[in-house]
Amino acid sequence: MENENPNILSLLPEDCTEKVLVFTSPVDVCRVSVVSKSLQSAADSDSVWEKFLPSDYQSIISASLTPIPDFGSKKDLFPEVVKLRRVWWLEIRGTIRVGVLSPRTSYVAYIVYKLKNDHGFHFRPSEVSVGVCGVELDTQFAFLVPKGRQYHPYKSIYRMSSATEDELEQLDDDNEEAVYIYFPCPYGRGPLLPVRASNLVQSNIRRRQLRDDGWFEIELGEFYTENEDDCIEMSLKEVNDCLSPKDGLIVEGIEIRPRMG
Amino acid sequence: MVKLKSNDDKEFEVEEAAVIQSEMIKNMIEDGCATSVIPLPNIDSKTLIKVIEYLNKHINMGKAAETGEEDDLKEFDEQFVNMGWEELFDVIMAANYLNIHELMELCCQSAADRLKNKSVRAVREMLKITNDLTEEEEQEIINDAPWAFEGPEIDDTVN
Repeated sequence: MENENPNILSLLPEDCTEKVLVFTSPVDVCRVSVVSKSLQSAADSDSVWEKFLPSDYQSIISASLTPIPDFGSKKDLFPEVVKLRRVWWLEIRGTIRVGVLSPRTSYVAYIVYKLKNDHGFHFRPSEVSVGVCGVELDTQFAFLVPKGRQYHPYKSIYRMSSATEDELEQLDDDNEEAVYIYFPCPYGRGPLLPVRASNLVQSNIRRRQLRDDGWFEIELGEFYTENEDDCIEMSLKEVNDCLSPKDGLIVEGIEIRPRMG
Repeated sequence: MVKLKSNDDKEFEVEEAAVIQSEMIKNMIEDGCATSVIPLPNIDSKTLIKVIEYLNKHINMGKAAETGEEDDLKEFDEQFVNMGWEELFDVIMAANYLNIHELMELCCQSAADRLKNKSVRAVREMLKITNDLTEEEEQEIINDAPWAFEGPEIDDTVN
């Protein structure tokens, strides 16, 4: 009898197959759907993909300023990430109401991203900030691309006048750990604009971390949930260097996690 | 003590404290429907023995945390799911039917771990599935999410 139906999976009812798939990952589910028709049907089911979406996805959709394109199933909602087309000014901003988070907890906000054929992020720190809307934000600097060398105001002036970005990159290939900040002047060869350089020297510059899921994350800042009516604003921008276009940034989103320890 | 009967007519006695980890049986006991033997027409004795083994080990989960037996329990769980696909699916179906949340999670996680990063060919071979998709259907799915089918992490070995 057993030889007539060797397919082991056919022993399992589809709702149990779906419960197994929920414990894998979106990538695994996509691959498994090519195995057979019955697995394709289980792998495409809303009950699986709903588990991969944020638990509050419905309020996210209804709050979206740009309409989400027609989605026939929960699976269609999943690959909604943003890829940056060539821009000069970059500003990414997110807000969240404190009321939806746990009270009296320290949270850290991270931007989660990848780079593909990126351009224009080397040597240029982005400004990152987190704070209550309407209150002046504490701004820090972060490198989306880690290459660069130690910031030194005089050296940087020298470099800016003499070296091209390609030359700098060459220099830095064997010095991945160092940080260098390059502030080109928005007016061609005119006076230097070391934008908030003093601020920069003192602050520790945020670096990206590679996550287990293959995306990078950079800390935007932290906040404490006190008043549930407060609105927290999180942003990343790079608007000082309006001469060099930026390209190839893929943003998955902003992730907020309680600070550990 | 609560008496359970498998579909091959074998009876098992289980402590109430152990058996109420099954939401289904817990509800039956609360509703006064568990006075005599509880027949389980979907579960054979071989699978029921596994499930009872799990229930007995997991009595008073809270206590384990206090007495530092957590590691012991973790080790038991690892050993427990060390079984073939057929057996694992039988336990999943039993846990689903009896509504034993922790056991369901443990076994689904184990099945998921075995599928993780496996190539399409490896999954077919492990589960003895014959491909019933046409080449066009297959290509269409791959074109939808090409990133799911490439990369060094994809594992083509069968185990």
